[in-house]
Formats: sequence, structure tokens, C-alpha cells
Amino acid sequence: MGNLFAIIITITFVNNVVLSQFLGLCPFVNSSDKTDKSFGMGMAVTFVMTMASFVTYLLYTFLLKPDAKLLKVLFPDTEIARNGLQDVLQTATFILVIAALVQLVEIFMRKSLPGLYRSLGIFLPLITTNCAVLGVALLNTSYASRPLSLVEAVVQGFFAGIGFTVAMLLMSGVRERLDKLDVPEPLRGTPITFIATGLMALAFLGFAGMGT
Amino acid sequence: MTGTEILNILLICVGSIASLAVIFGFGLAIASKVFAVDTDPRIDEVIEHLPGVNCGACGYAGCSAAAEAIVKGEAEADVCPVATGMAYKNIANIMGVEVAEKEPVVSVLLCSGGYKVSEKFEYNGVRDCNAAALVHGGPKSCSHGCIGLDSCVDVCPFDAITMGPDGLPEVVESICTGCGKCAEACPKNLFVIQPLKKGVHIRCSSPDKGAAVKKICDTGCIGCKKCEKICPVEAVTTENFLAKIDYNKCIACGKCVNECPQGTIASFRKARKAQVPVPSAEAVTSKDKAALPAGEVSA
Repeated sequence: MGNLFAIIITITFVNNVVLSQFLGLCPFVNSSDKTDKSFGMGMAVTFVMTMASFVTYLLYTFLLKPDAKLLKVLFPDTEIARNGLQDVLQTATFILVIAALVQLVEIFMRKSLPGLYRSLGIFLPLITTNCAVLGVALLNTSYASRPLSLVEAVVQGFFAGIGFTVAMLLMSGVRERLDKLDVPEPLRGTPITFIATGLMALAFLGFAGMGT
Repeated sequence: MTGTEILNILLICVGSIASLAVIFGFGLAIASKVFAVDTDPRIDEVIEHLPGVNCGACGYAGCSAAAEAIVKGEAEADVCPVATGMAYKNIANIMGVEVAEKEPVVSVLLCSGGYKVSEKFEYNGVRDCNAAALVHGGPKSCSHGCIGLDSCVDVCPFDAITMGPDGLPEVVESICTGCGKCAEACPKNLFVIQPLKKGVHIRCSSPDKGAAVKKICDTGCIGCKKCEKICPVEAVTTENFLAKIDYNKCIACGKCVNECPQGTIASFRKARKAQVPVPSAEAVTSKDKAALPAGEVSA
């Protein structure tokens, strides 16, 4: 339980995907102009991250990592089983998983939340190439500081998404107020968003060193 | 590593990716059946008759958004300012309504200066009119005239504008659809959208005094009122040293073109006469099809 708590705090605040690791900036900057839109985007990313963590963890354990179970059964005592396939297959399979999940979200959203579907527009399919999702999948598996269990990986995936949503909501609050201010013309739009993002990242630097 | 091992790796890579793809493919196929959205089939039919260039001149986010609005009844069948006469008829047929035939329009540049205008300084910045206009209104001595740095050429979604040899953008009127993108892009507001059959234009926008215009530009309007006097239907009026044509009166006789001492007034009558008749039905539909393949969104 203590482990899980440490993972939750670490991935949500200390290593927040957007503000500490600078992953997933494209949807962060482009969809954070309205609160409801950024909440929808955050929920979509959270769903994809959680599901992707689950599927990629299983793939990693059974197929990709050194001494993976499926490889051992198929090719006992060979170099393939000893080294695993993560060098050759990891990125390809992870992206395939993420792409399929994003498609699923898109199909679901078009049916159930057409308004959100229209306001997210191109950024919904672009979650496929959102580096935060791939980044979390990698953090769960080959880049983990210690081997994680399935539950830990899924929790880390879910709370990475929650961290992303928190950052999006904070940013949308800032931007909705920024819209009403007299920002110097050259800084309007994306530049002032980047500056605000930098300042928020500085604030999140206060968490540095906490957790694992 | 032996040959068999490499072969094994290859096999397992291809096998695992293929089986994953099959699993996800079936999963998505089931999901798309479960979450199927009923769309109006007329939307697709309307999209087929729209130009498919997603220029946004209608005020909607693209051709598919416009088609949706047409089918929903939020927009008229002739909302697209770009489509040809035949396309309007087809869309109206799909929707079961009548539309009045639209007059074909083109974009006209109201400046004939180009290289004939002297420059007040040498501009070495970004090749863009809006950027150049920020620096003392551009390098040309005439602060109302064309800067000639291709902004309209770049923005035209139909490639109907090319930069001519005299330093002025030339609108190829057989391609121009009058969507108005160039008018939005021009920092000097030099483009006007005019009906194709109005063949005579005063190609100057400078309200400066005649002497001042003459000093910097060989072809600018000096406000001499000669065109006003010769016009048989009193369509031309001169205000602020700049002649203007009232197109409700103008009969495009071309008398003012010959009279103008500066050569400011230009006639497009001859070139346009060949275009004005609406092309035959087959020609239009095949052109519609050719313009279609432009993708939905290019990310």
C-alpha cells in the first residue's frame, strides 16, 4: 500500500508528465484553452494511458523482456529468450496498442460525446502520437527504476493521466483569465501559453526530490 | 547468432505484430458496430459536389462542415461561394430545394503600379506583404498600392494568382472562384470581388492628390475626371482624386479605358466574354470530380 501511495504522489505531482517531464506538450498547449475541453482531453488521455499501461505491461512481461514467459516456452534455452525482444519490437507493439486504444476512444466518443468529439477535432486522433502515453508505457516497463507489478503499472498509468488532467485544468484556468487580459500583441496566443507553462513548471519544481 | 535464430526472431516479430493487429482489428470492428453513429447519407452526397478544397470562405470549418450545415438546414444550398453553377443545382436536387443561379465572380486587384511605382527604401525582410507593411507601410512610395511580395499568391487555395512580369499579382480569371481569401490577406485591401460580367475596373486605390500620385506612380489615378465626362451612363464618379465605377450603372462600354491619360482603367471585356457562358453539364461535373480528392484535414 505504501508503495502504491508513493507511486501515486510521484507520478501525479513530482514527476508530472507535462510539467516535470515535458511530455505531451502538443495536446497540452492546443486543447487547454477551455476548461471543459481540457477536462475531456484529460479524461481521454487518462483512459488511453490506463488501458495502454495494462496491455503494454502484459505484452512486456510475456513477449518482450529478457526471460519473457512466452519466449521461454516457444524458444527454450536460446539467445532470443535470454535477451528478449524489447530492442526490436517494443516501440512497434506499444504504438500499435496505443493506436488501437485511441481508435476505440474515438469511436466511443463520436457516439456518446459528439460535442466534445467536435471540439477536440484533430487532437483526439493525435493522442496516438502523444509522447506522454508512450512515455508512461515505457516508464512502466523497460525504463522503470525497479520492476513493477501489474497493479503498480496500471496505477502509475492511471495517475499519470490524472497528473496530465490536473496540469491541463490548471492551464485552462490560467488561459481563460489570460483571454481577458491585455497581453502585448506579439505574446498573444501560444507564446504567452509557453511562458505560463514555464512558470507553472517552476512551481512544480518545488516537488523535486520528494517521493521515489 | 545463427541463421535459424535470426529467422526465429523475424518469424516471432512478424507473427506477434500480425496477431496483435488481428486482435485489435476485430476489437475495433466490433466496437464500431456497437457504437455506430447514424449519419445522414445526404451529407456524403453533398460533400461530393462541394469543391473539397476546405478554403473556409463559406464561414464553416471546411467542406464537410458546410455539407453538414446544408443538410441540417442551417445553411442555404448555395452557401459555398466557390462551387460552380452545376454543383449548386446538384446540391439543390439532393436537398429538394431550388436555388437561383449565382453570378460568377472574380477577384480584381485595384492597383496597376507594380514596378511603375518608385521605391522609398529597399526592403530586405521576410517575403510577405503583411510583414513589409509593418515597416513604414511597405517599400513602395505609394502607401496605398500593391507591395508585390506574394502574400495573395501564397494564400490562394486554387493557385489562381501568379506574380506577373510587372511586379503585380495576376488573377487567372478562368480559375479564380472569388472566394475572397486574397482580399483578406492583402494588407492594403486591394482586392475586390466583382461579378465576372463587369468588365471595366479602375485599377488604383490612392486617394492622394493628382500631383502627388503622378510623382511616384506612372499609372495611378490623378483625379482628372476625364472618365467621368466621357461616361455615357454617368457610372463614373470622382471623389478624393480617385475615380469610382458604380457597377449598377456601368455597361462596360470601355470608353473610359481609352480616355484615361494614365492608363489606370483596364478592360477585361474581351478576355471574359469567352468565359461568361456557363460550361456544359458534363464539363462541370468532371471538374467537380477532379477537384475532389483534397483530403479532409492535413495534420
